[in-house]
Amino acid sequence: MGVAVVLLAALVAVSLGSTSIPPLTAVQILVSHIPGVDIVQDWPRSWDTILWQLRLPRILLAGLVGGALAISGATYQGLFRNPLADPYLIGVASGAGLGATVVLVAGLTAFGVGTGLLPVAAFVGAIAAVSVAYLVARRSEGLPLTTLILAGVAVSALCGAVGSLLMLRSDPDLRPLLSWLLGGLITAQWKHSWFILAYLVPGALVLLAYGRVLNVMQLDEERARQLGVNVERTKLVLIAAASLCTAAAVAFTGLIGFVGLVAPHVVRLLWGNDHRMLLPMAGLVGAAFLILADLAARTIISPAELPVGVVTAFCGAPFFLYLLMRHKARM
Amino acid sequence: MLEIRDVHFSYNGLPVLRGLSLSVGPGELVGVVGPNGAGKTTLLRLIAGVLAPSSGHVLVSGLDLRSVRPAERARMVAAVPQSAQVPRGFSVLDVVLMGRNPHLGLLQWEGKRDLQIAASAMEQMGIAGLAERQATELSGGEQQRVVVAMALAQEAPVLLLDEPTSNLDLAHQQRVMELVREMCRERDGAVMVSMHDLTLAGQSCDRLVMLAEGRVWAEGVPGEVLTAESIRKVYGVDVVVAQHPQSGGPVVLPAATH
Repeated sequence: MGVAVVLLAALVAVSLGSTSIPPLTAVQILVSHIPGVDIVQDWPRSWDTILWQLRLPRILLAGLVGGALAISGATYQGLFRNPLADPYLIGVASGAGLGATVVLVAGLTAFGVGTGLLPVAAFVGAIAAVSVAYLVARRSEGLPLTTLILAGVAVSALCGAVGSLLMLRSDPDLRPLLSWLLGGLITAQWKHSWFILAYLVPGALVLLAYGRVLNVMQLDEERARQLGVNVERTKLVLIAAASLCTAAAVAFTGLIGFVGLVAPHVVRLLWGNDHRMLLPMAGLVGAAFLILADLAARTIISPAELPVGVVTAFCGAPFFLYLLMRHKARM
Repeated sequence: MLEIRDVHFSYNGLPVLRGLSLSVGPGELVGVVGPNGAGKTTLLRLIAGVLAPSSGHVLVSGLDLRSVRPAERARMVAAVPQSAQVPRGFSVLDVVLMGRNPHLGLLQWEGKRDLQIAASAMEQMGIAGLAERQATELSGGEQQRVVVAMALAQEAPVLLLDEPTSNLDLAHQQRVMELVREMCRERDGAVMVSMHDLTLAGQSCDRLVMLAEGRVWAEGVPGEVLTAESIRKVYGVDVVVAQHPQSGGPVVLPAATH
């Protein structure tokens, strides 16, 4: 059912835009791209270009990024046993931001390689920030998760400060950085999706395999240990897999907020906390949510575009506030 | 079946257990008593494998627990911790099935056999009718029984219970201890229970171990361990030990102050 929702969202997103294409024709155009299939082309050639080179790569990227953020968010919420955790909790976002800033400030765009280097730098920055937080928090007897969160906050603050300093000390055109920070899918290309898939497929498979273990971790660390869970190894595996998925997702599309926070909670409300259900469903809900949010971003004020982060925040922030109120009532 | 050999343990440099040895045989129910800070909980956590001894050995069926993998250890020792909380968003059956974790591979789902084992554990604890309820919606006593059922579903030959009666009313205290006795007989397992209520401990257990300052102070049948003298020395309080009018077992009463 979740898969059907994603496909439906994708179909709607394929059809709508500055040029509307009837859904049936859209499907025909897509099918015509399958090698060996011959369909009489009774649609304008431009439709083919719009669909195959603009909309479809963008929808695929939106789906993958939304799915990666949501499944990582669900993992962090489960691991930290904190419903307000999101995939940026322990430094991915600020590390990626610093990486992107360094590339722009160093003027690497001037050589015409900036657009290619920015995602790489963002990815490396994200992984570096999480690694620093992890290494700082680690003790010989294990990894205290509260310390990891605090270390993540400190590393984030430091990355932010260094980034601001770099921006003040130099005079580059900051618009690409700003649009990256707001998050967006406007530059989507097929190859971006392949890069994300290279991390998301193994990462998500690992996370899905740990579904039952994550359930047991909901008891508390001590009882998880008594039930035979290798708690420290589980933490390392989950943090590594979720961080890699998130870093790959933010590298091209920047910091898209609220998907990783909201999608898991929608699933929790509907199907409960069994992570064997929660993780895959959160991934699908996140994918559908970001596909539709991006559709809204590119159609609402067409021909101009909204940053997709504005749309996800506009839908996600009120929901987040609702969650906070609910939790206050419970405590 | 369970053997503890000269175990030492320090926490932040402070010795908690100082050379403690004892053993529990199959089908035996042993109560661990002693004042706060005597090392009861630490001892149980060491046996459960949550803590590692600084020196000495914990053996189950002759196997040193430090030499086995976590899942294998969890198939040998099940433990019910003191504050038994259930996680949010899971049914009672879901929680009890978590006890099957050490028997399942990473990608394996619970099968028919696991469901049967969980069902009989819930039956034993009298919560079979609550299987589909959300665990967090139950009363404190019911939640405690869910957690015990989870440990039963683990099907380990050694079962540890840390103050299983602390949050229960009189009727449930008796009921839980009766169940613990039944379990012990039926499964022929080694059961170790830490308790504060000396009279209830004496009534329920085959043998008592009294700890003081990280060592075994007294050990034996309840009548031998629960004497006014040993309690005065270990707890530093004056008591009267009377005889139960029906069973003849020891009943510990505070001494009259005037």
